[in-house]
Amino acid sequence: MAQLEIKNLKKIYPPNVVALKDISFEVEKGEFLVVIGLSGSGKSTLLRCINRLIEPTEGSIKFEGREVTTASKKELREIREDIAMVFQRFNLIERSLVLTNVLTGQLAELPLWRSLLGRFPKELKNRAYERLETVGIPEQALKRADELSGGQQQRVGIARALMQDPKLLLADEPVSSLDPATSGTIMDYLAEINNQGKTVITSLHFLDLVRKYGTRAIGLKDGNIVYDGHPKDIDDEKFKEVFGEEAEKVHIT
Amino acid sequence: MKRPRKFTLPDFVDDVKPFLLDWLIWGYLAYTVIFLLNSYWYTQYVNWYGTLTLKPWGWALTIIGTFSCALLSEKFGISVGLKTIKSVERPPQKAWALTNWGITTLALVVFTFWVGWLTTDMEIGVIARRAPKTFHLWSGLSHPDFTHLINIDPELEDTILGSLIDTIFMAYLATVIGGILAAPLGFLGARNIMGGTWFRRIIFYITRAFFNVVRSVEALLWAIIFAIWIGWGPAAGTFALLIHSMAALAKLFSEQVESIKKGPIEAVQSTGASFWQTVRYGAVPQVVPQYTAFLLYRLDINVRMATVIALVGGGGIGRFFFYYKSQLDWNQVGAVTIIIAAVVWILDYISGKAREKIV
Ligand SMILES: Nc1ncnc2c1ncn2[C@@H]1O[C@H](COP(=O)(O)OP(=O)(O)O)[C@@H](O)[C@H]1O
Ligand SMILES: [Mg+2]
Repeated sequence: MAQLEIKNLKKIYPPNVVALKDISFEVEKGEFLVVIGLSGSGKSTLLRCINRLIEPTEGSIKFEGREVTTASKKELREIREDIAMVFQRFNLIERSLVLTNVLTGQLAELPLWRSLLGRFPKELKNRAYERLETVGIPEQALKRADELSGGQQQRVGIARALMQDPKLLLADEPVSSLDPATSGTIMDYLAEINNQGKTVITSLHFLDLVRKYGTRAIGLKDGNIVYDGHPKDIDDEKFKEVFGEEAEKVHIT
Repeated sequence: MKRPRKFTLPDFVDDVKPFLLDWLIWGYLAYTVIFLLNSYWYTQYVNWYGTLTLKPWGWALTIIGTFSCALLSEKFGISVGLKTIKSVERPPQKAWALTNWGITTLALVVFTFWVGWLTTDMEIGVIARRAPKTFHLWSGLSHPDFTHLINIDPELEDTILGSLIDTIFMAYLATVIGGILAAPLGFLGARNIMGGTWFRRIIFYITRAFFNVVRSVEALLWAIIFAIWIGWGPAAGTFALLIHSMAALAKLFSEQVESIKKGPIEAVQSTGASFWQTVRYGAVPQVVPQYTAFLLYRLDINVRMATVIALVGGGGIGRFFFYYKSQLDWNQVGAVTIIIAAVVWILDYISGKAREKIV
């Protein structure tokens, strides 16, 4: 049984925007899966259906054997504990401390009253510091999140995801708002996480990054899977064939 | 060059709008000219209220005159109406002020200033000429008499310090209660929360209308209303400040709620956090710091307003100010002024520092 099984997934945004048509694929534990496709091809929709930030219209998503699409609120929270997410625009709570942002990663483990009062046990705080060390910015812990640069904010985003000790990491265009050098660093962190046995599913825009980091690539076009294979096998010709005229735009670095 | 178009009502309205604005502007210019002629020549055509009292033929002349001016201004490219409503752009050959419509606008500004100067009886000379009359005032203010700072003034049955504390409590209570009431109102007046069903829309519009109306009524007026309603004193003043603060804060709060970003909330949700955890860590940090800053600022405003509200029976330290002023007791007015200024300054400083820290 694969870790993630997606069958006949379909998403229609009301009233009639078909974002995903009929998506089926499986992801094995430990894969570094890259979703590629032009803007508007449905990458974000696909990733956000997996942890149900977006309600799928039809189909089934099974994570470690548990059905996501029909999970109750409580079950969904349990599933989400194991699936972390990193966002293109970082989505930090800007006015809160970096440390608080990282700590939100494991709210689900805390009793409600403790979390509402903001009383995090010492051991969790230590863990948060450790995660910040992992991404190389322990000294920023007590700054406000919006004082950090873009690259640093994305590191906080990763630290927050790591705080969850996830089995699967979803990253929706994690480097699209960063400069090339910073992008490399961030991708290296994702690779490291992947090396520790965690599955990574990420959407990327640059073919170079896809080839360097991915162990598998899925190509989306207009809500359909048009490619599924090893990134190294996509040469520029193939790429153009799959994505058509506008392909050039995508892999210019 | 103009291709003949089929006549449609919206097109017609669009064409007429600039013309009407031009006509209005010319009419206004005519008014200012008649007003100025009047005040320098002889007062016949403008009455005491500043309204024109022209003979029928004068009216006819003005209307026809301004009408043709408006027509002509479109021809000669000095139409302010075309410029502002249809935003007709001309190549920028000349400096702004030298274009024809620029001159028209300039004339409007200058004439309005001139008329305004006359109607408000502004005079520079009088400031210097009558300066000596204020001598006793300045001397009073610079020799403040603090007798009643801690000694009861039998007329007012209170000390200055005591009434100052009243004032601060008035402002404080008004801010706290107003601030608490404003929060739920702010939610009801937030577009993003009250979207969706038509029922919510209606509540949204009613709430918005409610706090816009309440806000636009000055606190001083509310004080008069409450002085009549529950009698003179600090309670009336507190109610007045409270209701005004509530409306003003609700407006700010609803704007704050509208600006909540979805991203951070989704991020917290995606970790498996429950609803209340998401509210606490995703939404509250986006709203509360700014709102606390508003509250502090409001406290500031309320202390200042509380002093003025005494004028219409709101109680507090302002009472001393207006009473001593009516007795022409400038030394005591000086003392009260200094106290008020000091308190306002200190509060301004503290709340400013605190706000810097929070936001
Ligand atoms: N909230 C939404 N409401 C309606 N349509 C949406 C929404 N989000 C995305 N879409 C549409 O769904 C399609 C896929 O979007 P998205 O998943 O964001 O693509 P990508 O991430 O690949 O750019 C696009 O046509 C987009 O316009
Ligand atoms: Mg996207």
